[in-house]
Formats: sequence, C-alpha cells, structure tokens
Amino acid sequence: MLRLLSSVAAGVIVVALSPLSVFAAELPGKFEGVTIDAKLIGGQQYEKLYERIPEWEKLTGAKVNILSKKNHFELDKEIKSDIASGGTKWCVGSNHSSFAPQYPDIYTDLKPLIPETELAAFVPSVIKASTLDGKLVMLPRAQFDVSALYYQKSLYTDEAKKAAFKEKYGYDLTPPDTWAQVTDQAEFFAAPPNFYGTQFAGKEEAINGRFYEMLVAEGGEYIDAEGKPAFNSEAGVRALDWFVKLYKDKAVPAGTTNYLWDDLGQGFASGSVALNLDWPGWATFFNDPKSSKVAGNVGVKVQPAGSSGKRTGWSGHHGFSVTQACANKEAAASLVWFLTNEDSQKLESEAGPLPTRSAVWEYNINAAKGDAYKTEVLNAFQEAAKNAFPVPPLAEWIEISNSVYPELQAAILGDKTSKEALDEAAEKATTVLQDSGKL
Amino acid sequence: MKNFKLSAPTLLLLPAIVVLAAVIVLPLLFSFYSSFTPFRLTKPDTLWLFVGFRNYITALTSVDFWIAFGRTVLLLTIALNAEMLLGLGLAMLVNKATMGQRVLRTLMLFPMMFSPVLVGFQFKFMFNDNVGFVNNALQSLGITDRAIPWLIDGNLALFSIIVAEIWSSTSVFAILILAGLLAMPKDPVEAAHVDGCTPWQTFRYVTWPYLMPFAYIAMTIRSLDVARAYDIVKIMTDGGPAKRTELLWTLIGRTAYSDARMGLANAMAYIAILLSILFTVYFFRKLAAARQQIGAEW
Amino acid sequence: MSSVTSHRLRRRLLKVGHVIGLFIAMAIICLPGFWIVLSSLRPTVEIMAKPPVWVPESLSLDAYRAMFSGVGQGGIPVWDYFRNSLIISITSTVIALMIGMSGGYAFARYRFKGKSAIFLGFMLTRAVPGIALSLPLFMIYARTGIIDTHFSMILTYVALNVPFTIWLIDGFFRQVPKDLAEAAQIDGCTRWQAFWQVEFPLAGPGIASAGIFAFLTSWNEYALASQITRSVNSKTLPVGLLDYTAEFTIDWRGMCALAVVMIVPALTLTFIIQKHLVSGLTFGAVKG
Repeated sequence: MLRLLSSVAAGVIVVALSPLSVFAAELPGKFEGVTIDAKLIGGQQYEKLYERIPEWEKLTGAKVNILSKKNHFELDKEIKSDIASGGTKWCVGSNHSSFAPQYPDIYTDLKPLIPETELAAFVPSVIKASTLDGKLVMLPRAQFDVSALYYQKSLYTDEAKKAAFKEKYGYDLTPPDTWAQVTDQAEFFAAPPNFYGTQFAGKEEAINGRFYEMLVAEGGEYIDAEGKPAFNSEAGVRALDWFVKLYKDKAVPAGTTNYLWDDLGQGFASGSVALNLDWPGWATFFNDPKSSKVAGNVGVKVQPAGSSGKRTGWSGHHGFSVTQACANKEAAASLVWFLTNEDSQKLESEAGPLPTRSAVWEYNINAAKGDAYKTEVLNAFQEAAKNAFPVPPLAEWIEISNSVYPELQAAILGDKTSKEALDEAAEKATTVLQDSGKL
Repeated sequence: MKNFKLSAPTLLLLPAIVVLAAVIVLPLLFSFYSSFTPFRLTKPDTLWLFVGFRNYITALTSVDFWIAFGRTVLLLTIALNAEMLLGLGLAMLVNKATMGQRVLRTLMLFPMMFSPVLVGFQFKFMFNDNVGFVNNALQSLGITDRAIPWLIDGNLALFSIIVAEIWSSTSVFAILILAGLLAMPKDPVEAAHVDGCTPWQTFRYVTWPYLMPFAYIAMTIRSLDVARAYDIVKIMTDGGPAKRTELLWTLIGRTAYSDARMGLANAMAYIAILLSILFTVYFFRKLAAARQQIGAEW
Repeated sequence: MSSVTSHRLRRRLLKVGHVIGLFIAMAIICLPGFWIVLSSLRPTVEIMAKPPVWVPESLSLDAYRAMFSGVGQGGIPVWDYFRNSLIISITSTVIALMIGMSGGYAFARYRFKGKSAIFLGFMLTRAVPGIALSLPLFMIYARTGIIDTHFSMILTYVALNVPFTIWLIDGFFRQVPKDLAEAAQIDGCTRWQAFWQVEFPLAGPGIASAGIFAFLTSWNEYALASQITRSVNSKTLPVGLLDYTAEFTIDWRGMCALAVVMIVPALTLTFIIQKHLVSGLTFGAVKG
C-alpha cells in the first residue's frame, strides 16, 4: 500500500515537473480546458485590469472563474474563513503586503513558476518585500503605495503669509522638508474650525503604520533584532509626540483619530487642509475639479524627514498569489504573470497608481511629458519610493496593530502620556507575540 | 399506526424546530466547542487543541472586556428605553392622524429600509467634525464656532452612536405598538371616555395595558437583535478612539477576524449571550405578566 | 358658554399640536433619507465641501448612469444583486411566515408540555451574536457545497426570521377570540377551514407586520450575507454597497445612488403590504 502511494506521489511529481521546463520558455503558455478560480480585489479602479482577463483566456485557452471581488479587508476575512474550513482550492488570490505574512502556508513559491528574466524586470525592493521566508508569495501589480506630501500651492505664494511666517519661525516658508517644519507650518496655517494645518489617519492599522514610519524616521525600530517590540524607546516617544502635539495644538481636525483614508482624502479635497501626507492613488482625484476644491492648486513633494535624517516611507503593495492547493499552478502563475506584465501595468498606472516594473516607470515619466502636474506627481513619488520600507514581515502584524493603536489614540487624545501609552502598547504586543509562540 | 401520529402542536412546531436546529443550534455547538480551544483562523490545526476554560478566564479577567460589557449594557438600556418611548409616541401620533394614514405608516417604517451598513456610513458622515452635516449646520446657524468632535469625545461618541441606533430602530417599536393599537378593541376606550376619564387616564389604565404585550415583544426582539447595531458601531467608530466606544460586539468582531483568534472570540460571545439571556428572560416574564393582566390565557 | 369655547380651544390646540408633532417626527425620520437622495445627485466636491454648500448647485444623474453602465465605467452588477436580493428576501419571507403561522398557531391555541421552555428556546436562538454564528455556518455551508447559493441564503434568513414571526403571530392569534373558531367548527367547518376563514383574516394585521419585518430584515441583512455570499451568484444589495468602498476610498455618491435603488422597492412593497394592517379590524364589533 505504502509503495503504491509513493509511486503515485512520484508520478504526480513527474507530471508536475514536466510542463515546467516547457512553460518557463514561453508565457503565457497553453492551458486548454483549464479553469482557474480567482479571488480578486474589488473596486472601480481595478476593473480596467480585469478587462484583460478575456485576452488571457483567448491566448491560453483556459477559463477564469472569479469567485469573489472584495476589498482587502473583506477578502482577508474570507480567506481566513477559507483557511479555517480547509477550502483553499481556488488558485489565484489578490494579496497585500501587510496581510500576506498572516497566511504564509497557503500560497506557493512563485520563483520556480516564473522565468528569472521576468522577475528581474520588477523593482528589486518590491520583489524583496514580496518574499517571505525565501518564498516569493506574490507577484506585485501596479499598485505600489508609499505616501508623499500633498500641499496647497497657494499658501506658499502668499507674500503676507511668507513674511509673517519668517518673522515667527525665522526661516522661509517653503514646502516642508522635515517633520519639524511640518509641525511649524501646520500650526501656522491652522485656523479651526474652518482650516487645518494637516491631518493624519487616526485608527486601526493606519495610525499604527503612520507611527511606525515616524518611528523609523526618528531613528527607532518597531521590532528589535531579537524580535521583541522596541517601539517604546526614546525615538518612539519623539515619534508619538509629533502626533500628540499637533492634536493638542488643534492643528489637525478634532476628529482625526476617527479618520481613515477616505476621510483624509475627502478632507484635503474639501480645501480645508494645508498639508496632507497621502497615497499616490489620490493624485488624480485631488486635481480633478469634479471631485476636489483644490484642483489646480495641488503641489506634491517627497515625504519629509524625521530628526534622524531618514524620511518616512511606510509602504505596501498589492499583488497576486497562487495557492499551494491549486491544481494547476502553471496556468495560475501564467495568469498572475499576465496581470502584472508590462502591458497590464501600463494600463493600470495610467490612472495614477505606481507601477512595480522599472520599464513602466520610465514609460510613464515619458508619457507625462508636457503635463506639469503629472510630472510633478511622478517625480515626487519616484523620490518617495526610494525611501520606502515595508512593515515588519510578521504574521502577527495586524494583531499587534490592533492592540497598539488604541494606546496610540489614548496618547493623542491626552488620556495618557506618550511614554505610558507606548509602554503599555509594548507590553500588549509582547503578549501577542508570546501567545503565538514567537517569544 | 396511531402511535406514530404526532400531536398537532408538535407537527405545527416541527418546521420551526428543524430550521432552527440546522441553521442555529448546529453551528452553535461548533462555536461552543471552539471556545474551549485556542482556535486561530489562520492555523486550522489549533481547533484540535483543548485548553479547557483558558479562553473564558482570559476574557473574564480582562479589564477591557468588562468595560466593554458595562458600556454595552448602558447603551442597550438607554437605547431600548428611548426607542420604546419614542416608538410609542410615534405610533400614537400616526394612529391619531385622520388623513394620509397609509403614507404616514409607510414613512414611519422608512428607517427600517436602510441597511445598517448604510446607516453607519450616513451617520459617520453626518457627525464628521470637519465636513459633517451636523457641525456644518450648527456653524451655519451660528450656534457654535467650534468643530465639535462628535465621534471623538467619549460621551459624545456614545451619544452619536445611540442617536444612529435610535433613528434606525425606533420604527421597530412604532410598528409593533401601532399594530397593537389597531388590534385593540374600541369599546373600552369609548367607555372610559363616557366615564369622563382624562386622556392620560384613558391611556394609562385602558390603552397601555393592552399595548404592553406588544411593547414587550418589541423589547425582547430588540434586545436580542443586537447584531444590527454592530454594523453601525463598526462603521462609525469601530470602538475607538482609544476604546472610548468599545462595545462587546466590536471587541468580539475584531478578536475573531482581524486578530483571527476565533476561540477567544467565541468565549467572549458566549459570555455576551448570557447578557442577552438575562435581558430576554426579564422581558419575557414581563410579557407573560402583561398578558395575564389583559386576561389572555397562557 | 366659556367652558365650551375653552374646550373647543383646547381641542383645536391639541389638534395643532398633533399636526406639529407629527410633522417634526416625520421630518426627523425623513431627513437622512432626503440627504441620501440629494447626495446621490450631487458631485462629491459639493457633498464634502467646506464651507458647506447648502443649496445644490448642480444636480445630475451621473451616479445612476455610471451604476448601470458597463464594468469599468463605474458600473456594478446591480441587476444581479437586485435579482438575488428580491428572490432571497421574498422567498425567505414567505417561508418564514408559513412556519411562523404554524408555530404561532400552536403556541396560541394548544396546551402542551414545556410550552414556555420551547417558546423561550426559540427566542434565545435570536440571542446568538452573529460572530458566533457566521463562521461555523460558513464552514457547514462550505462543506455541504451550498455556499454562495440562493438556497443557503434563504435557509439562513428563514432561521433568522422564524423566531419573531412566531412570537408576533402568536400574539395576534391570542387576540382572536377562541370561541369564534369554535363557533365556526360547530357550524360544520373543519379546523382547517375555520383557521383559514375565521382566524387567519382576523390575525391579518399581525401577519402583515411580521411579513414587513421579515422582508426588511432579509433585504438589509449584511453581517451574515457578507460571509455566505461570494459572487454575483448570490450577492445581495447590502453586500453590493461595499462595492463602492475600495482600499482607500469610499464613493459616497455611488453608494447613495445604490441605496436609493435599494430603498425604493422596499418602500413600495411596504406601502403595498401595510394596508393589510388595517383590514379585518372589526374587533370591537366581533367581541360585542
């Protein structure tokens, strides 16, 4: 019986390996009669890319069956439910760098399935961020997220403001290059309740991410070399104090601790916020008179630096993964490749998001020639991307976020001092790591 | 043959029992079991580890849990009583109207047609401190020149949530009470009129006892139907900021899916069920008493 | 003389007070709805404006046009969602009402052992938080292969609605005097006939209100639907609302437009059903 099983297993391996060599030579390949079940991220901006799926079907002869389309938070819930019920037989799933470490086992390593030359065409740091424990768990699509600073240009051309600012702070009023300058300027511009200096995402993973990047910019680390939470350091207190001070001085909207990305974007578009650290996806929205009051008045600059000289740069990206349980990994990998190839990325990044292939970056910059705003945006984000760093690749990242962010909020709202809040948060984060057997 | 024949009530209740057993009881057994395991969604194997009462102890010794518990009781008490009173008022107003009953009755149910998800978003936008409807209105009318942090200040945030909850659920009370008003015999009220009772006396001693069973049915339904509020709170504040509006439901929801700690979340959920049972049994008793009062047989 | 005028005055005041009270109550109820309709017609830049724009400057049906247009131009599969919602809500409401009528009748008309306990047990099935239910339910449905089907959604909603359709209908049957049905039986009706010809019409308003309830609950339910539905096969409108939230953004205008599409049929149906609330209410006469 055992021998029978092993010979069957060997047969499976042979079958699995044999098309591989053929496959690597030509993409997208031929997969007549194969059906690929997929779970994709939902949202208007992604539909354009999905229109390319029929093309892939025509090229390969395979069919794609879209099981669900949801945003990543909902998708995360769904995938977790699938794991719990042992139902991960679907093949292609949308993935996100912040969520990916939670389910290390369900996705297969893409390296053997994608030709090396193709992998080399991606921006190396993004490939690195997609690799967990040596496994390339996803192929990045044109949705690289790092924040840059959006600002209202007119504020910096107003002579009266310039003079008043110089008098008060002793340096010229120009778009800020450090977070200390952001504080000065935000407080200078703020005139609540009608106008605010800046704003920040105030809850859930968002505030934790913002704190994380500020911590790095202040020279601290979130998790130390031994894997212990280390954000309750002096750098941590400095980082958190930045948020606390702005809130206390009313330079940010009072509701900011309940804001998530959409509130922030709408807030800046409403023209009531001077400076806004935000994602590339908003660039078009902010400059469109139909959606934004500040259209035509938007400047974009690389994100400011912290006191350590390092710039903030919390980043994440979307990608597509192939499951371990997928029956036809080659076909699935071919689809993933197709959705992230040069043409797909050109199509996607046309609308604003940042590509993850080097060639597409160049293509976009060339295409933007003559459009001053687009060029400014691309230049700013190209700079921003150079400073980008992902979150620590911990399976518990989201869980740690959930236990840390209420403490950050407590400090910002003045319920606790920064040190108290961070100590408590570190303790909770340690418990989370202990519970999962990491410490 | 005769032995096989089920009695009439059993036969009549059978469909309900079958459906409820399949869709509620069976899954419940599973989640009850999993509350004794360290079950994590992302690690299905953990379902087979048995840890006894550890999850319950973790939950019961957690300060956050008890604060959330207390706040949930507070919210339920305030919201249910307010909904009850407002629903009663609304039903009487509509019942008294001589014209446009149909339209009024439909409008009365209007909030029930809003998906809780929508109610959440809607009130979140309305209470936004910067561009929200409420602050804009207050500022435009010159009532305040501040941006009131509706969803930030602990009390205001709870207030905002209660407003959203009351707005969306008062209709439930209103329609049930209205149905009671419509089903009520007219003679006693007329008799009371003839006897020279004031409107208040008529209401207190004639109308109200008739309505009580309906009011308690509504109370019971609402005290159980807490999931509706979960969607609202989840979207409006998700328990924040700094846990100022953390309720059992948001706490459990986050623990279950975001943290993926299903075992612990289920333990919390079972403690929360106790709360529901308490409310239910309380109202159920009231219901039985109210029925006795109007002479219905039990 | 003066007492008569003062009495008249008081009545008139009471009447005016009633109208004013009714108006205020309806205004509070309708305002958010009105706001949603308005939001669906205005460009986002106006909705989120600071300082606020109170009088709409430009109204358009763009959001609706986009919703019904093809994929990629802002369209979502509204028709699929709509069909799913309609099938699931109506079927589950009808089934829940039938089960509720049979159960409610049993509670109202028979004495049997453990009646209170069973009744309470039914109620307590509602006490279960969705969280404790959604995952196991999903796992069972996934195993039996009925995930993402109309059937699983209907089954779930029937179970969700049965407890309170039973209580409500029970309550209304209780108010129908027992002797009426007995009289009918004496007149030669079977119990079945007596039920349909005498008790059912009298309990009509109760059944109608239970029906409105069940329908609206199914129509709006989100928490379980978001777990059980996956694709256009069974996705309902409330889950579809989330199509307007992407990773970072909410298309509030689009969401409002879909909300209007959701509310209009619910409103229409409620309007049709609610008239049964009044019918057959000759209680006083019957009792006399």
